[in-house]
Amino acid sequence: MWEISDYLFADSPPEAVSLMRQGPGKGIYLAGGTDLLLNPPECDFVVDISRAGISNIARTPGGDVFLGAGVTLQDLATNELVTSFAGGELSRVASQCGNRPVRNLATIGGNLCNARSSADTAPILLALDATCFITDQDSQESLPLDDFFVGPQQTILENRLLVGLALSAEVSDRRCASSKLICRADNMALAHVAVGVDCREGRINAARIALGAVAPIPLRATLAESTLDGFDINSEDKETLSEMICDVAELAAGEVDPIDEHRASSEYRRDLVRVLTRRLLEKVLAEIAAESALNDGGQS
Amino acid sequence: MRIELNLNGEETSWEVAPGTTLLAALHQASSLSAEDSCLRGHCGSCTVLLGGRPVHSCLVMAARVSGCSVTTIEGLPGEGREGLVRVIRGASLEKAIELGCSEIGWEQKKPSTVPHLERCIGRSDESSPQFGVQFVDLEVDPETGEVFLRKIVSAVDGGTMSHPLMTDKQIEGAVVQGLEYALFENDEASGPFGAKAAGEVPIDGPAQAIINAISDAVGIHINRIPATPERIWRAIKESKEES
Repeated sequence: MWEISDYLFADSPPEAVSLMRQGPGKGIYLAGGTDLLLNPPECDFVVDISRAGISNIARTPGGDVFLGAGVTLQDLATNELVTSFAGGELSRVASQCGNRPVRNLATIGGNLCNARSSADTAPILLALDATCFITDQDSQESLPLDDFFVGPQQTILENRLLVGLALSAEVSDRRCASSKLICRADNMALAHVAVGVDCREGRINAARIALGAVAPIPLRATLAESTLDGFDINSEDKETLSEMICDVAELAAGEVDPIDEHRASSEYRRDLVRVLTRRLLEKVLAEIAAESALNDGGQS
Repeated sequence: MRIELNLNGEETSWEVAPGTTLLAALHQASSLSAEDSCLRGHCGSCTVLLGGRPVHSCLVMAARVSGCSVTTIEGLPGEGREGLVRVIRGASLEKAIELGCSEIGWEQKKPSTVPHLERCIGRSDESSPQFGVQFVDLEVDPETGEVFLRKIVSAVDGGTMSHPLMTDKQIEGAVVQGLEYALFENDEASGPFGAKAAGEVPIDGPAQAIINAISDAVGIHINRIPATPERIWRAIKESKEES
C-alpha cells in the first residue's frame, strides 16, 4: 500500500497550489493516476485535482480551443471541438493511448506533467504550437509547450499547477499527421513523430516536426523544420520533392539523441525517426497538393 | 478516512487508509469480482465501472470514488464476437488443409504438396496421435520491421468434443498465446469419451507459420523469436548490406 498520511481534494486550481504549499511534508498532485500509481512516489500527502474544475474543453471568444489539464484522453478522443481541430489528429493520438479503461482516467495534464520523453500527447501538441497555462496561489502564467519540459521527467512547474492548454485558432487548419511504434510489453513509444504544415498558395509558411521517445524530453526538430520554410510544393517536380523530403527526414534523425535500452536500440529509434518523418511529410504534402489541385480545378 | 459510494446500486460506506486503491478496498470490504492480477492497468481483470465508465480499479485510489457510483461485474447483465483467429471444425487433415487454404485465400493445395507435412502430425506412443495445422496471412513493413497479422486459421484434431464452443475458445486462446511468443514475448492417452486435447497442439504452430510467412513476405529468415520489429528491421538491413 502507498504510505501516505492524507488524501486531500482541491476545489479550484489556486486551492490545489495552496494545499500543496501548506504541507505538512511533501505532497503530490494526483489527476488520473494511471502513471503515478504504477510506481507511487514517496510522499506525505496527495492533492487530488480531479474535482478542481479543470476538466472542461471550450472554445474561447477568439476561436482558440482550451483544454483543461484534467480532460481525460477518452474525452480528447471524442470531443467534437477536438475531433474537428486541425483534422482531428490530437483526437486520433488520444484514442490510441493505452487502453479504454486507462483513457477513461488518464488526463492530458498528467501525460504532460509526468514529462516522460515518450508522453503520447506531447508530439502532436508541440506540432500544434500548444500554449500551457500555469497557476500559482495568486498568479498565472502562460508559455509555449516547447518551454515546458526541462529534463527527463522534469517540467518547469515545481509546485505550481498546469491548469490547461490552448490551441490557437490560427493553427485550426494546420495539416497534421503523426505515427509511433510502441513496445508491446508496456505500450511505451519507441519513437513517435508528429508533423504539422501550414501552406499558403502552395508555399509552406510553417512546418513542425515534433518527436517523442528519442531524446531526454519531447522536442522539435527545428533544423529540419526550417529547411521546409518557404518551400513551394507546386514548383518542384515529384522527384525533387521526394528527395527534399528524404533530406529533411535525415536531418530530423540527426537532431535526436535516443536512449539505448531493452525496449529498443538507439540506432533503431533513430532510423524510425527518419522513416516516420519521411512518411508523414509525404502524406501531409500530398494531401496539401491534392487540395490545392482541387481548388485550382474549381476556379478554372 | 471514511468514504461514501454507491456500489452496485447500494449506498455503501467504507473506512479506508488514504493510500488504499479501489481494488484493495473492494477486497477488504466485499467479495465482489475485481481480481488482483497485473496491478499495472494492462490485464483488465480488475475492471469496474466508475460513474459508468470502465476503469482499472488497481489504478484508482479508493478516496477518489467518494460520492461516485462503482459497478463490479456482479452489477452487470451478461454476452460474444468474430476475431483474428478462425477455427476449423469437424475435418480430416486433408479437408482441414483444403478449408484452411480457402479461408486464407490461397490456391488449394493437396496435402502432399505442402512441405514437411509429416512433421505437422504428432506421433507419440504416450499420447493420442493428433494433427494441428496453422495458416497465417500477414504483412511486414520492411522499413520498420512491424508485422501486421491479418488472419490465422487453426485446425486441430481434438477428437470428440464434449463442448465444441469451449473447444473453439480453447484453440483460439492457444493460438493467441502461440502468436504472442512468435512476435512479442521475451522468455518464457485418450481421455473420457474419446476426448484428446485441443489446448496444447495449436500453441506450437503459430510461431513457425508466422516466421515462414515473414520469410515469404520480405525474404529474410528470422531464427530467433520473438520476431520483434527491431529484429526484422535488423535482418533486412543486414541482408541488404550483404548483397
